[in-house]
Amino acid sequence: MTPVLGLADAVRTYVRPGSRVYLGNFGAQLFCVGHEMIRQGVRDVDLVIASGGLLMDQLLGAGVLRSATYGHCWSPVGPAPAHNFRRAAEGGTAVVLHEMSLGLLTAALTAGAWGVPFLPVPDRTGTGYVDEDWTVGRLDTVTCAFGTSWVVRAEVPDVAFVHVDLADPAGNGVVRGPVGEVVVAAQAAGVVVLVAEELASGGTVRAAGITIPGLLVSAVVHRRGALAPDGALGRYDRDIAAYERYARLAATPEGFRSWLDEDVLGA
Amino acid sequence: MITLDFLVRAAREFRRGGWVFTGFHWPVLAGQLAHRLSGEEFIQAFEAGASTHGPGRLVPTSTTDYPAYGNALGYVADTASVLLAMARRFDRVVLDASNIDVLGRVNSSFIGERIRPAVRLPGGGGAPDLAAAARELVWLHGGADLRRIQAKVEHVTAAPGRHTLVRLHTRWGIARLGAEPALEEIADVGGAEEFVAHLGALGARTAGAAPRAPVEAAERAAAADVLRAAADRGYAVARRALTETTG
Repeated sequence: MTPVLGLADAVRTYVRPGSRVYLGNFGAQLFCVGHEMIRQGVRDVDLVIASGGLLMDQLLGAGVLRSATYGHCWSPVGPAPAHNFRRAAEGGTAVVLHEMSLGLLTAALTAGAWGVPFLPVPDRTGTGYVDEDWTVGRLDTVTCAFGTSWVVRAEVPDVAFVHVDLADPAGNGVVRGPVGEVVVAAQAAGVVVLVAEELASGGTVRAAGITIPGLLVSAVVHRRGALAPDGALGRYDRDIAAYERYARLAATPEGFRSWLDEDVLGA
Repeated sequence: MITLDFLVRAAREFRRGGWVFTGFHWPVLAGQLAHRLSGEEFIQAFEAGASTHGPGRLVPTSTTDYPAYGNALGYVADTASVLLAMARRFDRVVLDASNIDVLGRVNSSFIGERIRPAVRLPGGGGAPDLAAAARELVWLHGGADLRRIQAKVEHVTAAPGRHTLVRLHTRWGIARLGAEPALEEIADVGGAEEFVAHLGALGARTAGAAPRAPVEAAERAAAADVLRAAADRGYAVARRALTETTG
């Protein structure tokens, strides 16, 4: 049996200052986990996230992060800027921003999943990822008997929070729709916490098709609406008004603070 | 009307058929329009690792808005499959470009210095992987500021591969980009002369461009429908376009 924890307990148990935290999923952001990290006042987190989006923006604005490894960061509705991300970059920030293409980030997680220190990747010379070191030290070249290749350093999160539609008592989880990089992130991480929309029997989960096997999973959190205001395939839609409201408020530091007080800390 | 025609022409890249990787923003809307018009069968691929067959339930707010197009999902896999393993096999890769140069390189990262930039743009996502691997790369630039089309972008987020065929759609016309940039089609719209002069100043061959293929009334009406639906789904460009009174 895989333990079922409350969200606050899961974050308190597995996220500490200095933790390397992967937050899934690509296109299904676990806002509930990020908001709980904010409520618990966690600091110095090294975030790993594919599409940073508003979740990364909120963690940046709330002072949770020490570093972020990500593919891009903005609001997908509009689209609109991720204002905290912009302010941090434009005004100068102590948060180290390791910017990767999504292909590079996936390869880094794959290296972590396989337990190898790096993985060969396509040559990105001619872009800022190589020429201006946007990844901040994550790329290098290796020459061996088989040739010379660019490589990306393995990414090994301490904990990965993965959204699933269903989870069973053995910790098997079902991701509906494309999985992005969540499977390799789960395989790479030291601890995996599934955040499930619904708890189901083993038979139901096997019939739906197991995406994340319980072998990898340390705990399950049952949370309906875990992604809100993002949408969950087959369950609820992305809340466009909520995205627009956030983008409007976060345009100023004061507005962001009022959003934080009202929507997260006062929640 | 100028935006409607831009969208109609972009949609024709999908209506040519085949597997078309679809980037965020304008490519999503162009794909939505193509589904409403006749043409060759096409399949859209998205960077989280999916293909869709049909328009979906709603206009997606972004390429990761699965609840919107989930009913049209076909191939369901992962990011590595699409960005690293399959990108070179797609018939076309259609991406949005806000700052682009005549070599077909895009800057979606920084305006100004990298450290404390004047404007921090969102970053590249999967575009660097796709552009480098694509056989045929179509950039959609929906803006109205010629300064966004440059001789050399100040930071390179995504660059086409050595053998990638690169084309740029704008509201004023279509250009081939790369080592020998050339104007391919020119639209009969305000600003087109300035566009031609601008491309020429950037070293592109502008002589011999074909006139724009006509846009049918039905295509334009369908494009307006898509923009109305997109406006309801939060697209800022759609809301702006619907207020256009002149083309």
